[in-house]
Amino acid sequence: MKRKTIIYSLFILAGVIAGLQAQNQTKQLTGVVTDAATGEPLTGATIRIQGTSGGTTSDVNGKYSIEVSAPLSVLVFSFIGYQTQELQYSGAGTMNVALESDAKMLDAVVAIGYGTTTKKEITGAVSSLQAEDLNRGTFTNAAGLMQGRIAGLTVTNASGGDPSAQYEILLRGNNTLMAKRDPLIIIDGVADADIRNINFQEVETIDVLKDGSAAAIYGSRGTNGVIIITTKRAHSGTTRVEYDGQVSFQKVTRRAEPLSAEDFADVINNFKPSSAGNLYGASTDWFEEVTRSPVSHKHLFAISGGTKIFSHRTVLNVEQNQGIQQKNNADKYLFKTNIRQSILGGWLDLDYNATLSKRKYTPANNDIFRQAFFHNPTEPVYDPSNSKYGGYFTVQNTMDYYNPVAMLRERTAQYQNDFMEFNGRATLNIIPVDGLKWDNFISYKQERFNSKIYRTHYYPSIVGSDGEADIENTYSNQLQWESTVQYSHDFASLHSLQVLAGYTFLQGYDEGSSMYNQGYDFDIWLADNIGAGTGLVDGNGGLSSYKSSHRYISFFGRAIYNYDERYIASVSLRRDGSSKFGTNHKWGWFPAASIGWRINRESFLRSVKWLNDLKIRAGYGVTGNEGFGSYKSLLLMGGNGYVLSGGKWVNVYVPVQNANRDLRWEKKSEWNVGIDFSFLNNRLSGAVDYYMRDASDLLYEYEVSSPPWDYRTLFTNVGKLSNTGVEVLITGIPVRTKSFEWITTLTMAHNKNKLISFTNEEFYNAISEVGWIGDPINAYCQKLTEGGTLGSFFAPEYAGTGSDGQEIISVIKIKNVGSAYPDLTLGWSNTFTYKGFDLNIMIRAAIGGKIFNSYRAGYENITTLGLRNILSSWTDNTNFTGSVKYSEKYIEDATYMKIDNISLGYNFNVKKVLQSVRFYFAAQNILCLTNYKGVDPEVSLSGLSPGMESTSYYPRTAVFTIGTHLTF
Amino acid sequence: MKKILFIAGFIALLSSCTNLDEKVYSDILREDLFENEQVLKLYSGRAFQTLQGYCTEQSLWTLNLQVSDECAVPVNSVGEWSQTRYRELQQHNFVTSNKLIRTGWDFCFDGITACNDVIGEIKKSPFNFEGKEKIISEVRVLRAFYYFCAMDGWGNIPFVTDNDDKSLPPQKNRQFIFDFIVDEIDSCLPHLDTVPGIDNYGRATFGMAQTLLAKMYLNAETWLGTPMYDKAEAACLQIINSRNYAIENQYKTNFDVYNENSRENIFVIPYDNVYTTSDRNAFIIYLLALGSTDAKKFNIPASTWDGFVCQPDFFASYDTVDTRRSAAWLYGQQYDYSGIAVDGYIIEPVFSEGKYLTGRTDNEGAKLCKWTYQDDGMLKGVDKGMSNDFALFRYADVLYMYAEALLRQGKSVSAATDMADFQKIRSRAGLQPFTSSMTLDDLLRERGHEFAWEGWRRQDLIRFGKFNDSWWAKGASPAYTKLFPIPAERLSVNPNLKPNPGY
Repeated sequence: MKRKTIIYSLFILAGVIAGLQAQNQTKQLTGVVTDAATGEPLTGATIRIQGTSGGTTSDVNGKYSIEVSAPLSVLVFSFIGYQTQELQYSGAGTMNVALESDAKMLDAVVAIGYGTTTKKEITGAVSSLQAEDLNRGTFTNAAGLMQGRIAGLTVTNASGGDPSAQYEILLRGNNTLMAKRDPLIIIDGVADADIRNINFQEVETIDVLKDGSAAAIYGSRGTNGVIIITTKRAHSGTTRVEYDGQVSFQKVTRRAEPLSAEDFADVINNFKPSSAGNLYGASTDWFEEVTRSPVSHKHLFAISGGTKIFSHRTVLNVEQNQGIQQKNNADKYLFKTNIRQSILGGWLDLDYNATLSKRKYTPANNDIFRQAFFHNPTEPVYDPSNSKYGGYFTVQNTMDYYNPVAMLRERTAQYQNDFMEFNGRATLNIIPVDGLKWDNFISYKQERFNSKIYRTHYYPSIVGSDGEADIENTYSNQLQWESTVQYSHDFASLHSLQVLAGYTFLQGYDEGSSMYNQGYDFDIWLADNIGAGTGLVDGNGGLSSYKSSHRYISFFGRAIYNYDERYIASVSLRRDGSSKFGTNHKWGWFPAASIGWRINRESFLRSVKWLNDLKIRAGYGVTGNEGFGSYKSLLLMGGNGYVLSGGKWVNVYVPVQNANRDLRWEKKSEWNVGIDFSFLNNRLSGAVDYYMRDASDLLYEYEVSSPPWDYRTLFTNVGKLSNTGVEVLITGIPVRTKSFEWITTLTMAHNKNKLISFTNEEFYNAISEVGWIGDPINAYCQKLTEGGTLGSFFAPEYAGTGSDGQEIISVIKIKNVGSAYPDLTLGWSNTFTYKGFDLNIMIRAAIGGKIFNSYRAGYENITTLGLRNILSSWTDNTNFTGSVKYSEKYIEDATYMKIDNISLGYNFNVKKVLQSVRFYFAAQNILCLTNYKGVDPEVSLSGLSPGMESTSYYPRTAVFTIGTHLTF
Repeated sequence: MKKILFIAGFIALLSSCTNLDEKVYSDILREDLFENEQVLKLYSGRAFQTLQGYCTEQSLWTLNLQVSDECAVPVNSVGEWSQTRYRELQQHNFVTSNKLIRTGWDFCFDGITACNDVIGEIKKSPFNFEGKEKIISEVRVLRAFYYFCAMDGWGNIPFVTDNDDKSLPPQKNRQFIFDFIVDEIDSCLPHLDTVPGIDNYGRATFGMAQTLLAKMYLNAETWLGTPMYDKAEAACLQIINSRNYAIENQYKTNFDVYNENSRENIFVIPYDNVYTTSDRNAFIIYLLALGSTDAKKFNIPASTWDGFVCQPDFFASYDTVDTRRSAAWLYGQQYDYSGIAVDGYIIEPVFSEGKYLTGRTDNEGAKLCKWTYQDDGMLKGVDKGMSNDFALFRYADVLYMYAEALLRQGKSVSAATDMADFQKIRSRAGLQPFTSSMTLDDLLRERGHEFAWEGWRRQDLIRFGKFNDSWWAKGASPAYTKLFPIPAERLSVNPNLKPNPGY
């Protein structure tokens, strides 16, 4: 592979040089773009040459400058809210243009999977974000750009401030019990892409296929919606060099507050003198001992340019991120290049991409936060006399109670992820037949992961094992081939047709190995000399490896018909097969249809000047969810230890799962009706959607009677659930003057989830309790009930604290306290631009969800005080001296409002050397308004037991970023 | 390069355009596993391996220990072991959601599943080899043992012998299961090995099957209301007369780290520090029973959990001269590995029952040392079990069952008490041997001390009518607690199952 990389790099370099030379034949054109009505100059209007992708924008005085290569070029002038003008290049040096305001936004291109259409023609529920709509600031990955921006799309950073954290993405509620929950992500045509392998600053547009009629073109992978991300591509134009650099600082704003050392001693002396033996006299803030003030920086360099027949873009991204937990670092190096070529006189368009990325990180040990929270603050950190435990202060005879500083210091973890992707698209334009093309796309990606963990002789939980080394390696690759034939044509002037037929083949392999060993003489090698330990010989070491593969094949087609931009209809059909399905159900059909009626195009409304667009949409589509592991339908045997047989220990093979020949995708059918509108010169626009989605054949691991079943559970399709909801998007431009503009966008979503059935004649799960709360409560807090909502909390009634100090709980009155899912989620973004300044404020809110407060349930009672610390809030009710009992007391309202993101930027108008200079400042996760008494009410909502705050929680941080963006 | 890749890919893909068969790499499809006669022969090991679950943290053994009067799990000095599941067992407040009651049930039925699977597979197989009938018989007797355990604990249990029939199993009462077990053993006995040896170590032998029969008949009156002590006597005699077993000179020989040469152990679960290593199949009583200072005494590097102790009243019931007391328990002044007395560490075996809930101190409660702890530094934690093989059936048990069968029939017990081996059981403990004047009460007390923590105390207390008495940290319990409740999770998957009376 290394050699291939070198060849590729040379190839790219050659391309860049060719591109630099090609632009010499161009002429410079300048001019001013103005508003036709007011005559005021328009800042930020786009000027590009038709048929190419290159272009420029007008400056604050409306001035622009562009290089034109061919004498007969057509120049396209466009600006949001204005009619696009196409003008023939006259050959003169100056062209001044006045734009009429109009529904330009309606012509915005929207990706719909295997093709594009325009916003005005869309008939499904599709949300699009352009570059200017994306969140600003700093993000661990590109998912953060969408947070709060799309109605119905919940993006949650459940892992707090961990720099290697992943976002959780959930579209239109939870549509599955156990299968994949997050949307299919397609990045530049590559399905199932890892969003971490692009840089968030490189995202150009994001399109989200929300309803069944839109997502059905992705068949058995469409149920959770499809997010199509398009990154910045090669464009023709002058060579541009860009640099973006940012530095971020973080601060913990909210965390669970344990008793301070002083209060700890006071509470013990006053309320629990029997635990006085636990007072060691020191004063330690364990949280402070394991955290720091992190500084992170990110840098991006990009070079792009080229001509109509050869253009390129290359990006290099370097990041060094720190987390608040000491030693928790995440570095990232990403190289990406895109080359586009048009050859054979326009017959063949080529587009190739190469991505190399390396992520090196030391993951956080979240358990350290939990241990630090409940660790006795009167214990000192160190005890030099305790040589067995490496000089760390250690209490004996405990379970799950370890010195957090020892956990931090005595473990070294190095993770590495190497990703490589090559893909190429060849589009054969059958020029004699206008609008006919044959497109072939091949992508190959591979990813290697390596982790090395070493715990020294003094890592608390393994003292006595003389150090432990763990190495894990995984490798995966995926080959994807897509072949589509597309034909689009306008018949006469009224009829327009777009037809697509395609085939997809996808094959992936996953493999890995792991090893661990103990019994080292020295700690110096870490995991770099794993064989040096004695553990493998005396049974304290281990080796394992695995390999699996999956294959996915589809045939699909789609036709979109458009009459006079008034009546639009779209039908699609997909035939999907997956190797994961049982032999009785290898293939499935996924049909969809949708229609749209643009009422404003009817003669009776054409004269209404304030009405720019009014469209009614309706669609129905069937999608699937095949997001589960390989081989789940087969009766597999696996090794399971040893048995003594004739004096020798021999391997034992046992069934590791039950066979299920009927295993298949989860099926979802969805109705969606919607209205798109745009009024008053597009100053007020938006969309309203109503959907009903019914998911059936839901997979679950059912407990079965064993015997006769070989295994205690069976993975099978049984359940049904529905999600019904409304989504609203409103964008307004309350103020727009020559120098000041205010754009405000509100997204709102309401979703109602209902579990319709969970059992059938064959499979019972009468007790379907989820949401296990461990010690000291040991109870489930949620139930799956037919007719109820997923994530519903059930708890006994709570009636205060009794005179005996115990909580008064009614065991008879078990209440449905409510669901973890909010009734309403809101995102409100505001963009203000004044001359060179731009200010963005994003506010997000969720109203009505419930949350289980694990901190109060686990630590707000003094029975565990002594060995362990408790929440300082216990002192608010010192009458409560009994042990904790599970009740509604610990289920709280999770309603919150967050000022999520404030960013301020300034664009300098420079002429020399630099084309543009931008400075920006962003403050993220600044304020959370809530009545929730725990740490943060915004927790994971995507699991089967949503709405439970983890006590091993990595605290969220307020992030302050300063940055600059330079264009040369 | 792209072009070559493209063309190569295109050709490769065309041929496999619509093929969706799954290729398995690191597991084995069931049909592929049994293409080999050797694998089939070894497959009975799968059934016997399920026994390894018996001595794990939460299994049938620890369940039976905790509901009897020989063991207690008090809250310890740092507040651990405070979970309600331990309180429920100690106080006979059994609930369907108790985790140990479920894991105890699962031990039995995982075993039955495995036995059914092995028997079905070998019967179906086209391979015919010498000893096939013996292998099937061994596994059928093992299955009978599992049904015996399940019937003893839960009484009314689901009954399945053929895993190919996936219909929900019916619930059968004790009489049905009893008859089934007896029939199975009777029809398998002719095929079993009669002489114990390396090849049948840890497997079902003639001696094992007869011991199981003896236990069945001895409890028949309790379970079914039908006395069968004559049959119990006959089964014991079959073992005695086989002369394959003997009482060891040393009590501890049966519990040593390397106890595979004990001639007293009839049926064992072989364990090994290296080969039985996971929380599902390791013998880890040292973690449950020892505190950190105790662990040092045996050079055990693991952080131990300091939970299970000898019930104080049970400890007090030993004769002071009974050497089995010090063979089984740590009490009094304790010493470190090099033999130096640990300052201030004097274990008080008897402490007040109030501390069961409020927490005992580190040196309260006698700690277990009956199974010799290997002191080579290999007991390193939850994955590292002990190498001591665990004897389920011992010859001493057979001799005491023989005496009990005679006593309960009103026969003279001298046929037992005159036996040299019978006398040796008490004399090696430093006690006077029983004479023909021994009583059933003598026998219950003696069984307690001889078989302390070997897992039979619950069954003995029920048979002797003492199970519902009050004892240390426990009040009198209702009679229905002689059966455990069927675990809620298992009831819910099989509507044929009715809860046991009282639950």
